[in-house]
Amino acid sequence: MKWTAKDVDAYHQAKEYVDTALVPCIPIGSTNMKAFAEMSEHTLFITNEVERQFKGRVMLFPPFTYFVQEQIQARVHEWANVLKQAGFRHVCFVTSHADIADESFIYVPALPLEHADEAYKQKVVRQQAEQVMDALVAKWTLKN
Amino acid sequence: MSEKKHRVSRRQFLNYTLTGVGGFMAAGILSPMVRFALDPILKEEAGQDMVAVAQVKDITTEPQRFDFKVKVKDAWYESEEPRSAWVFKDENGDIVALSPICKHLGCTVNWNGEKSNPNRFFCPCHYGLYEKDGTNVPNTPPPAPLDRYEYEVKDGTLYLGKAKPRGEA
Repeated sequence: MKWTAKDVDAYHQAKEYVDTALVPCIPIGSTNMKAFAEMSEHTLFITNEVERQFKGRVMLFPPFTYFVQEQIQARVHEWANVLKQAGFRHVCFVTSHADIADESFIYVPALPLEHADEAYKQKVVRQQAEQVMDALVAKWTLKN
Repeated sequence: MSEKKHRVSRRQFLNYTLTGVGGFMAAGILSPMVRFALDPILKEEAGQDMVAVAQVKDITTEPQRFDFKVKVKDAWYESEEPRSAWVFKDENGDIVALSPICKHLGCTVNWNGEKSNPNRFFCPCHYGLYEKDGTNVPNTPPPAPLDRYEYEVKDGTLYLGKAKPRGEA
């Protein structure tokens, strides 16, 4: 489900089934902008695809946005806690930004897809989305 | 006297021209309005086009996943949305194209997704199961069978249209 009025309605009706929060992490930098924009775009591609396939159990939240100079651990922690209190048993942060990706993030390396052809793009996105989905399924089976 | 009868007075002449010109102007203003009012009735129902998905020779009795894209119009915003279909031939050799959207909450189902339930469609979100023909397995979350795509075969190519609930397609 997405963060839209329609999907939130659906969420309220099926709350007990939706137990996973997916949060894309979007870096903003004033230098090397293009690389950060690529990362952001890539993260959003992947998370959208995961949401499409796991619509019924995953809520895709609006991105966690930060400046690259920022110390984000505390804020990430805060988000995770709030979401957990709201009833999401699994909270997943997805990022393409290697500098912040520790073990609490799902890391999807951004590839320069700007000039790649459509079929190749789809393949890469599908593969990485599958990795994320595998990680989610592993989380689900672990705690069930 | 015929000449006198046909004489047009200045007043009449002005009357005629004014009504003529006025009529044109009124028609010019009113006709687009009428057209706008009638527009929703005249518009064809936005039927989704059939999309080429696969070659018939590639379709086997084992369900295979084919991905394709459809044009979706959401208000003024037009976009291409990815769709998938599980396509196979049943015992009679008829093509069956199932929508992979789980009828429970809309996740994507997989063929043979779980080892303990071979030859079934499996939904990883809440462990829903469907038989090969799309029928939901009782005592799993899905409340209905998988939707079926309308299909058409032209020159060896499979075209898919809208996904419809079973019973309608």
